Amino acid sequence: MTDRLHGSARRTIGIYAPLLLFVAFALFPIYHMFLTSIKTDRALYNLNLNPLLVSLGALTAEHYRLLFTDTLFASWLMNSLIVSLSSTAIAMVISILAAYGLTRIRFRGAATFGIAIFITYLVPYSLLFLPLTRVVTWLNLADSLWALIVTYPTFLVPFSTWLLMGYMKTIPEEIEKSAMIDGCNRLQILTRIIIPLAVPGIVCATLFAFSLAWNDLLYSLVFISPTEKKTLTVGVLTELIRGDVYFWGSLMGGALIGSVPVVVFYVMFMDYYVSGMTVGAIK
Amino acid sequence: MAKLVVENLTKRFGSVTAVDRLSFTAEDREFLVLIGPSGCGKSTTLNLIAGLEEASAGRISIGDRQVTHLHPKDRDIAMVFQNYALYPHMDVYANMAFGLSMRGYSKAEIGRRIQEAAEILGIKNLLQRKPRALSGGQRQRVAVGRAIVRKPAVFLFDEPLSNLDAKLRVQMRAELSKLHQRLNTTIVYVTHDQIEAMTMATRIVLLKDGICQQIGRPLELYTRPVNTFTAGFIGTPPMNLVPARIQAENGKMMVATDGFRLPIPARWRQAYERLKSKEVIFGIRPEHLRGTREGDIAVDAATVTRLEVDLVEMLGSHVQLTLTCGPERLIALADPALPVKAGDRIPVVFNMDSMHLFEKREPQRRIDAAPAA
Ligand SMILES: Nc1ncnc2c1ncn2[C@@H]1O[C@H](COP(=O)(O)OP(=O)(O)OP(=O)(O)O)[C@@H](O)[C@H]1O
Ligand SMILES: [Mg+2]
Repeated sequence: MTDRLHGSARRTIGIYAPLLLFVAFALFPIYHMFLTSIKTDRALYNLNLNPLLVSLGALTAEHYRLLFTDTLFASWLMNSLIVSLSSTAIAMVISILAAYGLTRIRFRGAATFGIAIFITYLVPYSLLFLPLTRVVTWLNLADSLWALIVTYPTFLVPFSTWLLMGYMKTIPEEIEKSAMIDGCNRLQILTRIIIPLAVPGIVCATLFAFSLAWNDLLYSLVFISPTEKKTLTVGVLTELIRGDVYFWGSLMGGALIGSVPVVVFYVMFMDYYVSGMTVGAIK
Repeated sequence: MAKLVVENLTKRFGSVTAVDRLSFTAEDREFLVLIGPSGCGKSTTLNLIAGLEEASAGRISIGDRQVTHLHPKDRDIAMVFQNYALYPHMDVYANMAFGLSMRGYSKAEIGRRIQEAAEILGIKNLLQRKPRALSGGQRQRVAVGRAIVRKPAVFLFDEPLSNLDAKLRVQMRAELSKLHQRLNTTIVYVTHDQIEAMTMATRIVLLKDGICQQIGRPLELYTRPVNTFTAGFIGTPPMNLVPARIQAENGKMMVATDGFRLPIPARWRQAYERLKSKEVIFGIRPEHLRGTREGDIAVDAATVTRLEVDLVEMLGSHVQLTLTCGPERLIALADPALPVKAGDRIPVVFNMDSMHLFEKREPQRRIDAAPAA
């Protein structure tokens, strides 16, 4: 009895101690960002104060006020949301169709095509923007949010197609055969059987795609220059560092608000996300 | 309720010919079993009938309709798969309703049919459950239920019992037979379990490498296998098959192997005259070889041979003996009371009236006493 208690206590410590360490490690930057964003500049630049603490007298909302009144932060946030949501939606529609076609419809070259997608996925997107610049100019989309909405899918589609292909392969083919006998055509099989069954995979791909689009800096920096069209990542970076003046408090505040949507989405879909990650691990 | 006719059906996957010029007819209300070893093309045949695969050549008709090129949904068939293939995201009711609602049946009609099917299968209390909350046997019933609500012309079953444990399998076997009588419809049933084939089939189609070996009633395949493959495939333990030579001796015809020399029954001597000095394959089923004890023999001593026992397996109702016969092994049965152990040399009675002869040359066809007219 005592032995078993002993064992379980030890196991608890064995599991939670490393976890706690990891959580502390992961949360530290966020804590620091938060702290920086609510300190007065005076407290921020005073080297005699402990940088990891803040006294009540040194609290301020000034950085957030600056963010929302003196910059176009609200527009950047909106731009980021519009661009990320639209490009993710476009990418998901294409990926679901592509993944289904590539895993289930036996056509000449299906395997080659699948590999081609994988290779596209391996091309660093930081190289891809060079030719894409030409495309964007040619399409007359430079300096418009459309530039991002149409270019983000170039790296979101290969990635989510690949992820969804893995997921769809785990759905037994007989289920589709049954549906076909029951009277479904391909599109009905996709919408009534495959998509409902692939929800965890789709959620997982959507989350990844959204956060990739949301976190993008490069394309947004290259394709968009008017201040009011900037996305959050670029806006914060370019407008809150003026020459060698860093608006540290507002920078950190902007970054903090910028991480909220991603966190919210991940938490909302936590269960799906986890079961999507572990597909194939069980059974 | 219809007759299914398959003519010269062929399916090639690249260089593999999975089904090769297969022809058979399942009469109206027949329980036709397709059987054969793994990879012989059973599932492919069923998929072709269902329209899930496109035939490379050949024709399929159901009732008086050509269905060779129709979409699966237009063929008036229903199929039950080995892994049941229930829709995991729908409850049992929705699973059974799906095919009907796709075909535009009214809610009331769907409900009526599902209640009826659930009644027959004893799954009324499961209708609101998701497949994952069902046992293997229950899933099996739901899969069958999903097929029967459709009232198709032909039912197709692909190894529906092979995922069940032995006891449940025996039970479901009997239930499916009863269901067939009750529904009075044509069934094509794929299995690799010859006991299922023997007990359920009105007729059996035996395949090997995509080629039909024999079609017939179960007992026909058992008593008159057309070649050594059928002989060895149907029956457990399988028929003993040993190379032999036919010899004439004192006006008798003898079957001679490295382990024994035995006379062919008198009434066939005339007929087998033509085989004199020929190499053949001699076949005899284990139940026609009986291990006995010295002095026990009340039979024609001419059909007794002494052979060494290699292995003794007690099965309760009888003992199964593995005997050494030259380089070959023979399986024989014996009374469980027989005192015998490995290494003994015992007299073995051959029931030569039940012997079979096959050509030595591939495909080792049956040699009948009465030559084919
Ligand atoms: N889609 C396919 N592509 C290529 N070859 C295939 C395909 N489907 C089946 N085959 C081949 O066709 C042959 C027959 O396969 P089939 O599935 O019909 O066998 P089976 O008799 O059902 O076997 P089992 O008892 O193992 O289910 C096999 O050699 C198989 O490898
Ligand atoms: Mg099969």
